[in-house]
Formats: sequence, C-alpha cells, structure tokens
Amino acid sequence: MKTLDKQRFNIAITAMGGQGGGVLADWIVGMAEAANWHAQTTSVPGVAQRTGATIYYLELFRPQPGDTDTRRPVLSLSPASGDVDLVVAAELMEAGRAMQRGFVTPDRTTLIASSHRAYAVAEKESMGNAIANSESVHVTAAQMARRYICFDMAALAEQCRSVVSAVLFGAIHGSGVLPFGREDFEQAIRRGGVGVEASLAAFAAGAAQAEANRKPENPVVPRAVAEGWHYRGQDAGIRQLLALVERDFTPALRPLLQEGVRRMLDHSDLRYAKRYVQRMQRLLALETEADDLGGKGWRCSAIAARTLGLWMAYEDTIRVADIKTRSQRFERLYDEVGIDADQVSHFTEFMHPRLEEVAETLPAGLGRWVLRTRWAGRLLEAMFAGPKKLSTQSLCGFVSLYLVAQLRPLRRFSLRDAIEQTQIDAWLEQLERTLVADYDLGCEVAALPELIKGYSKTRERGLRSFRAISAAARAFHGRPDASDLLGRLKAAALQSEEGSELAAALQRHQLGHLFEPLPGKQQDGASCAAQYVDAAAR
Amino acid sequence: MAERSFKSEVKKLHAGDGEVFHGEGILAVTKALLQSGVSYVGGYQGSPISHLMDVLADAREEILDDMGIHFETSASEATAAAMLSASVHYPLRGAVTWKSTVGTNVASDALANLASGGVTGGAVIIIGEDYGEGSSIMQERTHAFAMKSHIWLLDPRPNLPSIVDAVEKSFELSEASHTPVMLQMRIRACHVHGQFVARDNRKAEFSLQDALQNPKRDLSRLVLPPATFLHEREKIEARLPAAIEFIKAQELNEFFPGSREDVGIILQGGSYNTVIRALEHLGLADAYGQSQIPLYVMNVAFPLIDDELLRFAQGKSAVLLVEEGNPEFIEHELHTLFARAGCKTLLQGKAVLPRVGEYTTDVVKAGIRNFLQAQTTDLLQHETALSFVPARPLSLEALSEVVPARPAGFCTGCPERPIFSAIKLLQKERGDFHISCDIGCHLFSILPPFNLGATTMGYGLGSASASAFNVSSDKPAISIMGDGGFWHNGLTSGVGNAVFNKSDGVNLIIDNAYTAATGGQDILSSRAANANLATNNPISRAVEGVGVKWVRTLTRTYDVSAMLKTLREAVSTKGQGPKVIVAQSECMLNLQRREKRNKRADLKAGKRVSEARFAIDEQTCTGDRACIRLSGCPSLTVKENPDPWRSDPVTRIDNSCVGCGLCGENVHADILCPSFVRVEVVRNAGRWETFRRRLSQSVIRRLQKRAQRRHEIYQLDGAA
Repeated sequence: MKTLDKQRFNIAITAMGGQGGGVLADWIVGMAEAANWHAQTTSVPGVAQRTGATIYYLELFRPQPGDTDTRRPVLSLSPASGDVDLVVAAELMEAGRAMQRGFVTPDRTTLIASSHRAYAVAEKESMGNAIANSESVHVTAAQMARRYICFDMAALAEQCRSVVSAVLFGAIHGSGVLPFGREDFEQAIRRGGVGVEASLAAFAAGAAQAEANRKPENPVVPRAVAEGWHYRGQDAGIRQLLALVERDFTPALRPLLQEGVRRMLDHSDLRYAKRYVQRMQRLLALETEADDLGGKGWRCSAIAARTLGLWMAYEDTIRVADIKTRSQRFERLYDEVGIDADQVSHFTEFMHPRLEEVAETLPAGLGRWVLRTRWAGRLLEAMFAGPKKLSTQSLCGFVSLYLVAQLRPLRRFSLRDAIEQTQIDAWLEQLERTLVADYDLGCEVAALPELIKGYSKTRERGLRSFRAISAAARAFHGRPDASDLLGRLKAAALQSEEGSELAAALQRHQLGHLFEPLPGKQQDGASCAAQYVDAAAR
Repeated sequence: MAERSFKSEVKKLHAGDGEVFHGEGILAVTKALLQSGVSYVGGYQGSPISHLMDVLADAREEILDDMGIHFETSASEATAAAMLSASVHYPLRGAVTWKSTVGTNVASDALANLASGGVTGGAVIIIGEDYGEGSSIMQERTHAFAMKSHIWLLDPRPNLPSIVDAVEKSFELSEASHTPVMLQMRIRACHVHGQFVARDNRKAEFSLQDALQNPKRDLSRLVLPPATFLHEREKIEARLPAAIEFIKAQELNEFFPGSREDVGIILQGGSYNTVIRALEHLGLADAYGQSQIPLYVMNVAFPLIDDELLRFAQGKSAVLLVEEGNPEFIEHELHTLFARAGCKTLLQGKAVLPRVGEYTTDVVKAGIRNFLQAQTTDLLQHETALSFVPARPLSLEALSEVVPARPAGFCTGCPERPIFSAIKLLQKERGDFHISCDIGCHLFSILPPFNLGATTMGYGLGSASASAFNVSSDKPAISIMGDGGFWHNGLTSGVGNAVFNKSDGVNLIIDNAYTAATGGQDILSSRAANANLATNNPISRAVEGVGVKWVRTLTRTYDVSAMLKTLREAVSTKGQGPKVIVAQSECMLNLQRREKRNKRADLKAGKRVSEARFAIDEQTCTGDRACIRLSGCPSLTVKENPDPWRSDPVTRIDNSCVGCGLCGENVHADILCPSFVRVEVVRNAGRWETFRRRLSQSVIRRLQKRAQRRHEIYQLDGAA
C-alpha cells in the first residue's frame, strides 16, 4: 500500500469564507488535470454565509499504464485520519483544528499554515483577554507534522495586494510536496484568469518563504515591557521631578514611574505629574514598611504605578478631543486605509455624549448644579448631548474639537476631575490600609481598577463591579484566603456585562447587598445623572 | 435574478455526444436531466442542490426555451412536488429538486398523493441529502419517505458517470413501474468535481403544449376512494414487481467479486468510495477498487431486490451491511428477508458500526475491522490499532482547550445584524422576551454575541411557533421570519393565523430582498427587476391583505435607533392584532457583488467614486469590547493592546469592512465609546472638492503643528 502513496496525493485545505479556499482547490485540480492526472475535489461549504470554516478535500492520482475510461482509481470524498499528505490551513487555529481531527500525522503530513489569526467570536466578545494561545498550535504542529511550514501569509498577501490563497499556493510549491514544476503551478494561476499578476507575485513570495522553510517567526511575541522614558528636554520642573523619581524609587520601579510621569504630562501637565509621583511615594513608603524593605520586589507598587497611571489619565471629553485632533492620529488613519494625506478623504467621528459627559466638563460646582437642576440639565442636554457625527477633516468639526482639547489646563477644575480624584483617593486609602494588614490582598486591591474600562454606561458597569469588589475586600479583611477570594470575584466580574456571575459570587459570601443595581433604565437623563453624581461621591 | 451569474456553467450544459464534461456533481445531474428529455423542472433552492436551480434559472434563454423545457422556482417544496402531477396522465418527463429531509417534509402531502395514483411520464425528485458534516438541518433519512409512499430511491456511487447514468435510468424506472423516483445525492457528492462523457441533450417528443391541447383525465388515477384502495394494491402487486424487473434487467445494482468466498459487504452506492478507501487502508483493496471482499452495491436503496441479495449471501458465513443513518431500515428488511428465506448467513450492520452519524472512512474502517476479526479466522486478527492512526501526544489533547469553535455567522456588513443589536438593546431595557426563530441567515441570532431566540420549528414557521403564547402579557412573544420563509408559507401559517386568532404578538419580518441563505435567489418581494419573474410585491401589502392593521416598514435596518423605537412601540401596543415590522435592507453579499462591479466601471470612466470603511482610534479604545458584543461583525476584530500598560485586547476593524455604518449606529444607540471613525476615501474627486479639502487641510495642519509644539517641549515621544 505504501507504493500507492506515491501514486496518490491527498490534500486537505481548511479555509474560512472569503479566503479563497475554493480558488486554491481549483488551481491544484487544474494543475493536476493539465498533467493528465486523475483529480477530484469536494467540499462541505455549508450555507452561503462568508463565515465559518470550510474544508476542501482533494485527491490527485498519477496516471497509470492500463487506465481506461472504465478502469479508473476510486477517489475518496473525505479525508481520513493518517491518510493526508498535505494539510493547508489558511489560518492558524484551523491548523489546530485539522490536527485535532487527525488529518496531520508525523510519518506523512506536511502542514502549511498561515500564522495570522482570524479571531473567533468567543475570543473577541470576552470582557477580558480570551485570545487563544497560538504557541500551543506551534508546539503540537512541531510534534505532529512531518514538516511544518508556517509564516504570516496574510501579511505577505497584503504586501502583494493579493489574497492568502495565492501565497498558500506558492507555499505548496515551495514545500516540494507535489511533483509538479513551478511552470505548472504558474500556468494554473494564469488559466484562472483573474488578478493573474498579483496572484503570481504572491505565489512567488509564498514559494520563496516556504523554500527557506522558515519556522514561525516570533511565535510568541514578547510584549514590549514599558521601558523608562528618558527625558531629553530642558524643562527644569520635569527634570526636577524625574530626579526625584531617580532618588526615591528602586531601579525596578523607576521605568514605570518615568512612563507614568510621561503619561501625566501628555494627559495634563507638570502639576498633575507631580501629584502622581506624590501618590506613589506615599504608597511606596507604606509598602517598604509592609513588605519588609521590598522583600517581595515591590509588587504592589509596581501594579499600582500602572493602575494609578491609567486611572489618572482618564479619558474625558478633553482627552478624547485631544487625541482625535492630533496629527499622528491622522497619519495612522491614512496609513490604515492605505492613502496619503493629499488624497481627498473624510473622517466622520461617532460620539454620543450624555448630559453627564457634558456636565463633567464644566467647573465642579456648576456641573453639580446642572445635574441637580432639572431645567438646566434639560437645556444643556438639548444643546450639547445626544448622538453626534462630527467631521474632523472639515474646518468646523476640527476646530470645535480642537477648542475642547485646549481646555486641558482647566481640567483640574472640572466636575469630572473632582469625581475621579475623590474615587482615586478612596481607592488609595483602602489600598494603603489593606497593604499594611494583608500584603497579598493589597496587591489584589491595587489591580482592581483594571475593571474600570470604557465610557459612559460601560464604564459605569465597570465601576459598579469595582465598588462591589472593593467593599468585599473590606469584608474579607483578616481571612487567610482573602486574596484568592478577591481574585475569584474579579474573574466573575469579567464573565458578563450584566454582572449576574459577580452578583451570584457575592451572594455566596452573603455579600449580595454590595452589588448595586445600575442607575435606572427608563428614567430621563436628568434624574439618571443625579444618581450618577451620588454614586460617584460614595 | 440572483446577483451571481452562472453563465459559464450554462455553457457547459451545451456539451454534446462524446464531449468531456468537467464540473460539480450537481451540475452533472443538471446536464443529465437535459440528456433525459425532461419537459419541466421545478424545485426549491437549498444546500446542497441550489446550483441545479441557479444554473437552470440562468439557462432559460440559452437552452431551456429552445428545448421547450419549462423551469420554475417553486414557491415551496410542496409546490414543486405538486408540479410532478403533470406526469400523471401525460408522457411528460419532469424533475424537481430540494434539500432533504426538510424539503421532503414540506412536500410529503403532494408526494403521497402522487405516489398513490402513480405516473405515466417519468417523475424524478433530486434529493440533496443534507446529512453528516456540513449539514444544517436535523439528522434524518429521506429513506423513510420512500418506504412509506412507495417511491423508489436511488443512491448512486458518487462519481459523475454513475450519477449521470442513475439520473437517466431513474426516468426509465419511473416509467416502467409508473412510480415516482427519488435520486439521493449526499453533500459531498453534490460538490464533487469530476468528469463524464456527455451525450446530446434530448428534446421531448411530447410537449407541454401537446398536453394542454389534448387534455386527459383518468378517474382511476385520482386519489379518492375507492381508487385509493386500488392504488395500494397496485403498488404491491403491479408497480413493485415491474420496478424489480427493471432494476434487475438493467443491472442497476452492482456485484463486485472478491477472492473471499466466506464474507461479503452490502452497501449503499453513496458509501462506495468510502468503503473502498477503508478496505484499502486495511490492506484488502487496491486504489482501483479491486477488493478481496466481494461487494454488493445497492445503487437502488429502495426497493430491495430479494433474489440479488440472497444470491450474494449464498455460501457466505457472514455479510456486513454498511447503512448510514438511522433507523436502519435496510437492515431490518434484510433480517426479515433472510429469516423468511431461511438464509443462514449472519447479517451484521449496526452491531459493528455506529448507530448514528456520518460513515466516514475512519468509522467504516473500524466497523469492517471488527466484522472481519469476529467473522473470519485469518483476516486482521492481529490488527489492534487501526493502521496509520498515530498515538495522540499530550499536546494534541491540550489543543482542545485552545482551538475555538467557529460557527457560521452573519457576513460582514449584513443588514440583519443591526436588527438583532436593536433587540439586544430592547432586552437591556425591558428584560428578556420569548423569541421564536425561523430558518434562514437570521437564525444565527441564536449564537453569540446575540444569544437571541428560543425555538426554530421550520421554514416560515417562526410566527406560527409563537401561536400558543396568544395570551395577555406586557412582554408579548416576538417572532422572527425571513422574506424567504414568509413567502414559502409564513404569510398564511403565521401572519394569517395570527390575524384570524386575534394574536397580539410581534412579527418581525426580515426582508433582505433574496432568499439569502440559499445563495441569494429572487423571491416575490425582491426589488430588482427580473425579466422572467414578477418581483417587487411588497411584504407589507401582503400582510395588509390578510388583515394586519399594525404594519411598520423600516427601509434601512442599519438605523438601530429607529429599529429600537419601532420595537418598543410594537411590544407596548395592545389590542390591535398582530404587529408586523418589515425590516428592509439588501443582502450585503448581493449588494457588494453589484456595487464592486459598478465602482470598478466608474473608476475606469473617471467618475467620482467614494468608498467608506470604519476604523478605531486605538488610543481611545480601552479594550472593553462592548461594541463587539453588540455586533459580532467579522470585520470587527481585536488586536493586542498597543498600550503595554493595558492587558486586554483592543478592537480593530480590518480591511474587509464594507462601511455599512452599523458600528456608528451602535455607538449612538447604546452610547458606546467615541473610538469609531468612518473614513471615506474619494477617488476622482472634483476640482471644488479638492480645493475645499486643501483649504481646510492647511488650517488643520497649522493648528496641529501648534499643538505638536507642546509635545516637543515635553519631548513626549522621546521614549528610549
């Protein structure tokens, strides 16, 4: 039977809709038929939608003496485990699935996979990070495949302005699995007749890369650890502040603090950066005490430097306007859609400020009054709140956002700042108290602001979880398993937007009352906003 | 006409005597129909037989008219089956097709009537047996319908010459036995690419016009007592023997000899290639199908040919029956046959093969191995592990926790997605509703991220399946139906029923202008003009016609806020009978096919062309992904957070985005984040537009430079 293997080549292609799996199958069949081989392809395409994975299965059979119209090889319509010579996966997890299904075996199968990811809904919709670990696929492939060829074919295809199927076809040629010459491959593309030049370029690129038999380049991309920020400017105040950081913080914490300072300067000003450093100094002093002079590596300060920095650089209207009007942002968008700045284009920004966001931008006293005073709230709401489309490439749109961004120096008088600083102080106070009593629990509390993400309602939901878990942390004081419990609550909070899992988890500890209902659903804006201020003041 | 053109496939149907036809299995069937001299073809589209319909729809002028063949897209499978009544009195050959078993379920009333009276002209039903991997329906067998109504069932070997031959023989068999014939094609066989030597297309000698000019009636063929009792007797005493005679004479079933005398395998034609491959793996067959074990291949799965089966079993100690699906009708009948005939050969089927599921090579291999180990003393006795199948390393097991499921979902830019975003928002306000779903693309609402919908009872039955909840409640049931299901039967079974029974429920009809899930075919309410079909019949008028008082038509589903408002109004309106919301926007796949073509042409002609897509500001995105949970668009994806201080991925929009606008609408309707931006790129812009652009850009750049200065002072970008 092994001799038959040389007559027949079994190929499975797994692709998602729109990746050109069918085109690739047609190229291969066309190539084989042009050489008078027996060729068969079939697929299970399912419904018409362009999602989900499709498997194309091909068998190519070398013509034999004695073949006639009635004596033809019997070709199978579906892959069998252990009987596939070549598996082509147009996406990395589909390579994983092919291995799970037993299509890839060490004695036989060459696995060609694109290392790029098309994320599944389950990975995308998670509240936390649910992205599948690509490394597992690489590890298994190295064990299971006779030969594993993997590189980012989607990127290569994009460079060649073609589609991934052409790169895959090139990789098949480069792998040398099929006994056809380069001319045969290229001829198959030409016969296809659509986008021939681009396909040929992508084919060549794929072939070259596969011939080099590249291992997946950087299978695990190590996350760029925030390096310290080295200030090269002349501002005396900044230099002084950074000298302070240099003096008071250990080498391990210094880069974090420097980066924090940079973020505060970017967000507000030097005064704000100083406030960040002062807050960190206080925490560090306490940790030094609690942690026996840093025996645990200043874990808590390291976490807090990050969470505090992110929180202090909160995204208010001014911040959003600032980011949206920056030139780097324009360039990035041009780059993303592949045009240059001179080409005519229009940016339309979609925003929906509520009365809350409008009032927050006002001075604290005035903002509170507006939120308390029904008619003023209504008026402001009618004037500024509601769904907005803004063109940042038109003069009017750009200038209005630009002016909002210029309010930055006044931010510290705003209601939003008052609310945020009150909350930050309350969190820091709890953190400090906890840290002294229970170091591990302190570290959990330090990481808690990670739950606060997003804008408006999304942010309110995050804050609700944050408040409930903070309160639970107080209730857990003195329990030996307090930090574990807190970690579990945090995981529960990331299960769903509605927070039912967190509510249930709190209930198990008789802490159900800590989970507040969200501010009303059907109420009008003003009373909703008043509740918001109350909640924020807590 | 559906936006996709099948003109190149139509060309292939011209192939004449001796020409080699290359193509898909289902296209080979189409060609075989023309070679068989059919006078009419009908059917209802659905995977895996859609292409048969699509190609014939495009072949009207070029082939069908010349040959005097009437083709129509039937309103439902029942319509298609009823169409076959043209063959009852007249020597007209006709064929219909559908996805089974769902289509056969719908057609079964007409089929039973047809089979009772019998036919004069050949009546053939091409069945797309949607079973096993890739199937989108409940797992059942069409075989049951064949048995209960006495319709012969062909299940040919899955190669193009065998399939084409089976189609041609089906007509002859039908005429020889006055019985309709089903020809069953499995999913992979429909899509298999292969070749066969064509024959000339044949024009029918007796035409449809001839029939109309010389109408016939024969009371004995009508299904009314006492004729029905006669029919029952006829089936058994006349038609069955005639069929058996024909099948034997024409050798429709195949005997493949093998060197072994003591054992054999009986199989359905459709499983032939799989069984051969399994035998090859076990070292018992070669690549050309030369098997050591004798095979009896039933290209006719019903009726069984008793003496052929007994002849095959004679002298063998045991035979294996490979019969896919359950219940195992053939096995039951074979046991009866052996017992009645006193045949002592042991019959094994589901005893060594799984009772359920698709019979893949791996499954069949294990079954044959088990059978031969027990029933012979020399074959595969030491085979403990199946050859080739390797041990599974631990890392492979670990993959099960890594590889995510990838169910089908709405396409990029699908106009149905915003409807479900709106329902999700409605549920956020009012709590969950009982939602009754239907068949069609919209059924993907049951999957994440929407998670909407409790039941689906069949095509067009979305509204009907909420009919029990016709009670007073502040949360009425919401039922969903597509335009396809609506015209298939939902207008009467659902909407009419709700009006008649004074239901207060909410009926959401998704009108994307095509039966999108089956490949974008036209229907009554399609909005494009079609030379051959009467389109542009609005759903709203149809529901008003059956007495609905409360109808709202939304002409842009992407307007999530309007959709939400309408839904709110619908669920809180009382006492006006059923509320019908018609949500209209064209299927994006069809729209894109057309627009891309037009844009390419405009671009070449130097006309202004604008293309829009969405993008995300990664600096303002905080990675909460509320947007994804409200949309689930394939182009709305994630990437690692560019901010090393944040661990959660940020949302990203890839360049498959078609700029449908839903992201922006969702931002407004659910008050999401301000990170979404629509980027419209204009090509061949006019002079005035270019001038205005330059003017505003010069001011914007100046202001940006001014802001940039602050960053320069701080050296903010000076990170090492």
